[in-house]
Amino acid sequence: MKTEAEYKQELLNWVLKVSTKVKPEELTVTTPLIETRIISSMQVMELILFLEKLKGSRLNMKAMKPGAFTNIDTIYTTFLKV
Amino acid sequence: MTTMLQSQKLAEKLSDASVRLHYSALEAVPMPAVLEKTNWFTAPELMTLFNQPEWETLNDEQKKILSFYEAVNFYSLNINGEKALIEGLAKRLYDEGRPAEHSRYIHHFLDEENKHMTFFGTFCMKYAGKVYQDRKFNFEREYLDGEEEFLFFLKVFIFEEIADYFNVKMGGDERLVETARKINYYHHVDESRHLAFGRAHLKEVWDQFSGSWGEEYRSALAVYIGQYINSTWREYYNPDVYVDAGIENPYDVSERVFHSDTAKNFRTTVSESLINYMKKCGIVSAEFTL
Repeated sequence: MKTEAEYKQELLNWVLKVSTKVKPEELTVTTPLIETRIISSMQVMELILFLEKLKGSRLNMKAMKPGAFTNIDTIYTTFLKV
Repeated sequence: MTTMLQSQKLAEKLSDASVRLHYSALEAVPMPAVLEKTNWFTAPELMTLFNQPEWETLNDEQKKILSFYEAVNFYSLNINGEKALIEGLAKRLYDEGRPAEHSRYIHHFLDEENKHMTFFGTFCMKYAGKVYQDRKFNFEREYLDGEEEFLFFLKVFIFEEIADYFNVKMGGDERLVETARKINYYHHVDESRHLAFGRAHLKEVWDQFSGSWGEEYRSALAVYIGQYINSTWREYYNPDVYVDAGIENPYDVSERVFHSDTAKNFRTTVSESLINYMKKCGIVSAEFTL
């Protein structure tokens, strides 16, 4: 199982791979992703698939709240933290 | 004297056709107690793994099982899309300023979408015991004047145009088990009217409001449309399908196949007519590609 730092690094890499709106040196675990449109609502589905792959199981969409996608910290806490 | 919009005249004709062609969902589509998975439920060449390396590793029995779960996914994504569609249509009934002809047709639109969900849902629950849940997630935001109406019908247009390609191909395909064939056939018959209304209304809303949205908005819209088309397609490559069909490494397969040239070429072919219509309306530029 991955550590918290490893999960967050995987998420940082994913954001940099799919978004053209942020440079590596500007992105941290607290950078707002949706508010700044680094990630669009249309890309959230790809993010969900990526999280399911990392986690190894399906996410419960009904339990999902908009705040869950605020930044990498909130994504980790909501979906990956045990 | 007020000039009648093209969509108003069309809505009248479509309402008459809906009355004339009215049917009962559960009588039109046979739902036997058991449907053996030794049948084809999806046309092989329309399945996501067709012409992919994984396809060659499957025997005929496994391909037919996969065709069943791909059908369950196709019906599920239609149910999920139509739930949002019904919600949006109901909200629009008798809106102030909306032509009466539109509201009359929206009643038929709603009735027909409910029928589709009835046969899609009955099939999924009876033969698979579930409907695959979607992974779409919408964030609330504010809209420009006319933008919400435009984006609603734009998304409906994209979603239904893609689904209709599959319905047309499979509605008369004798290789498919009768239940699957009839679901595709009836869905197409109704959707052809919905698409006609949607296309006309979409163009009218665009013509009326887009001039005030500015050049910057139009550039951002092209990006949004590209992402929406891709995310609509992404649902067809559902890893849950591969899990149920016994395909190994389902998430890796889903990602690799979706990004493969074979799959991209297929999606480009299917999406061509809807993109051409948006070009004709001026919604996207002549250079727009997926």
